[in-house]
Amino acid sequence: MRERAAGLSVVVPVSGFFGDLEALHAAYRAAMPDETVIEFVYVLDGDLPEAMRALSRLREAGEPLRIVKLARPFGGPVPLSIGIRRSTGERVLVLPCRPEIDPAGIPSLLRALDGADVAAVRCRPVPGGAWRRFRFHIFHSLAARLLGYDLADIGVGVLAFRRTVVEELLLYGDRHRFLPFLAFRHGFRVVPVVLRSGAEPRPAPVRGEASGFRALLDLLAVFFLLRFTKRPLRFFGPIGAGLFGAGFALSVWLAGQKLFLGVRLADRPLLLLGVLLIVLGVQVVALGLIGEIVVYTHARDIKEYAVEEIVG
Amino acid sequence: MDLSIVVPMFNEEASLPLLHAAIVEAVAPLGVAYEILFVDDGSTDGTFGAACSLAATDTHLRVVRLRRNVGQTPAMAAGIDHALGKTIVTLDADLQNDPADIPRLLDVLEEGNDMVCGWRERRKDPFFSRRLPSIVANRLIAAVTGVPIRDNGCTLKAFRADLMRSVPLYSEMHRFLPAMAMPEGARIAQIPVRHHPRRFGRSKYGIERMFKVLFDLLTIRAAVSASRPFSRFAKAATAAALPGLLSLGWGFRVAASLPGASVLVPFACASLFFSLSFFLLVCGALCELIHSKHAGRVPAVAGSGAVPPAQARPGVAL
Repeated sequence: MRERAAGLSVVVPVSGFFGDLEALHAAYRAAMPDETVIEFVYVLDGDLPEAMRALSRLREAGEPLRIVKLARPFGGPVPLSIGIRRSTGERVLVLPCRPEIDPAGIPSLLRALDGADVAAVRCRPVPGGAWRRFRFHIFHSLAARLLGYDLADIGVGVLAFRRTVVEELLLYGDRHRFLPFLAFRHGFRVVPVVLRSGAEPRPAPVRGEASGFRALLDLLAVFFLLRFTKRPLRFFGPIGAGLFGAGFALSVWLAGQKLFLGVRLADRPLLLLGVLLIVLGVQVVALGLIGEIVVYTHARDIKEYAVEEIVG
Repeated sequence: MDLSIVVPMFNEEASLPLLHAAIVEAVAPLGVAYEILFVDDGSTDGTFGAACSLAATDTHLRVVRLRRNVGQTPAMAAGIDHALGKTIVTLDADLQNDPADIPRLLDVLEEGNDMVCGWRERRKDPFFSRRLPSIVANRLIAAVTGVPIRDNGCTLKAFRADLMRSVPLYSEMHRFLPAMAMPEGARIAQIPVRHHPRRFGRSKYGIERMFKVLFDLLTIRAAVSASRPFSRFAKAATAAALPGLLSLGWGFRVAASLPGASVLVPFACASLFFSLSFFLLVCGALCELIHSKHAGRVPAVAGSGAVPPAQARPGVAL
C-alpha cells in the first residue's frame, strides 16, 4: 500500500559529483517550513556506496527520506524523472545534490508555488569564471530569442512545480531542463524566482549549459517542439520554397543568357548549382510534407487544448 | 441530447448576452433537447465571467474554459469533444453569423446530409482586405481539393457529431473541414446564410494567412484527398524525371555534335534530377507506410446508415 500523499516532495538526484549529503540534507531540512508534510526522495544514479551510507545514516536518524538506487548509472535526466515519478507530493521541489544554491531561498520558492504552477528559477550571481559566464549569457540570449521568452536559467539544478504540470506535459529526454518554458507555453502560471548561488557552483560539465553542443541541440529540439511540431510544413515549406526559388531564378537567368546571348550552357557549371538548389528545395518541401502526413495521421489522438474548468 | 451549439470565443465579452439570447430564440422553438457550449479560448477580458453569469441563468448553457489561447480550430475541437448532442452546430461568437439560420441548417441536414455548410450571402466585410483574399482562397481550395465549397471561412455549419469524431481538427484546419470530411464519405450541402457587419470588437484575422493557406493546401492535397499518397509522389517523381531525361538527351547531342566538348554539366544535371525522382519515390513509399495505419481504422461514417456503403471509404487491406 502506498503511503499518504505527502504535501511536498523534495527530489534530489544524486550522481557524479555530489557534496556532503548529510550537511546538505540538514540545510534543506532547516529551510523547509514546518507545517507541511514533506518527503525526501534521493535517487542514486548507479552504485554510489558513499552516498548510500550517508543517506542510510540519515534514515536511521528518522529523517523522512526514501532512497532509490538505480541498477546502473544512467546519467542525464533519468535519475530526475525517476525521482519525480517515485515522489507523491502535490508540490515537487527538485534540488541539486551539491550546495549550488543558498538554501535560504527555498521558502521563497515554495511561496511562489502558492499562487502558481511552476517557479522559474534563476541563480544569481552566475557561477563560474568569466569564460563560463560569457557562454552562459550567449546561450541564454539565444534561448530567449528562439523560444520567444526569457524566463529561467536553463539547466539549473532547481525546479519547483505542481504535480499536475508533469502529469500534463510529456517530459522525456532532457525536457525537464525546459520545464518553465514548456509549462508557460501550455498555459500554466509561471512565476520567476531568483535564488542566490550557493557555496559551490557546479564544477565539471555534468549537465547544464556547460556541455555546450548538446545543450544547443536540446534547445533546437525544444524550439521545434514549441513552434512547429503541429505544422512541420510551415517550417520546411518556406526554406524549401526559398531554395527552389533561388535555383529556379538562377537557371532561368542562365537559360536567358543561352537564348539571347548564345552562351553555351554545357560550359556553365553554375547551372549545376541552380539545378542542385531546385532539387534540394523540392526535397526539403517533401520532407515537410511527410511530417505533415505524420501529424495528420495522428491528429485524432492529439489534444491541442487544455481545459481549465467547465461551468454549467 | 439532440443538438449542441458550439461557439468558440476569444475576447467577446460585449457580444455574449446578445449572442446567447439570439441562439435561445432560434433553438428553443424547435422543441429538441439542446445544449449551448461556449468555449472560452483563454480570453483576457471578462468573457469567462460574462459567460458564467449567463450559465447561472440558463441550464442549457455550459462554458468550457481553456487554460490558454489555442486558436479557433483547437477551441472548436474542444467544444466538439465536450458536446453531447447527436448533431452539432458551430458558429462564430462575433454576431456576424445569425443564429436565426440554425433551424434552416438543421432542416437541410435532416434531408439526408452529413454536413451543411453556410455560405455568407452579401458579406459585410471590407472588400480588399477580407473578401477578395477569401474569394481567391476559396477558388483555390475548391480547385485543389475537388470539393466545391463556396465559403470555407464561414463558421456556421451543422453536422452529425459522429462524422466529426473521424475528422482531425488541429492547427488551423477548420478551414478545410468539408474537404477533410469528404474522403470519409460525407454528404455535404451548402445553403446561403445571413451575414452581419461586426458590431463589437475587431476582427482577429489578417491577410497574411493566405501564405499559410498555400502550405495547408499542399498538406491537404497530400494527406487527405489522396486515397493513396504514393500515387501523388509517383507523379511528382515522374515530373522530376522528365527534365532528367531532357538533360540526358542534351548531353548526348552535345557529345555527338561537338566531339571532345565537355559534357559534365548536362550529365550532372541529369543525375541530379534522377536522384530527386528516386528520392520522391522513396518519400512516397514512406508516406504509404504511414498512411496505411491511418486508413486501417474503421471510418466512423460507414456504419451509420446515412451513407450508402459504396460511398464509405473502404478499409485498406494489407
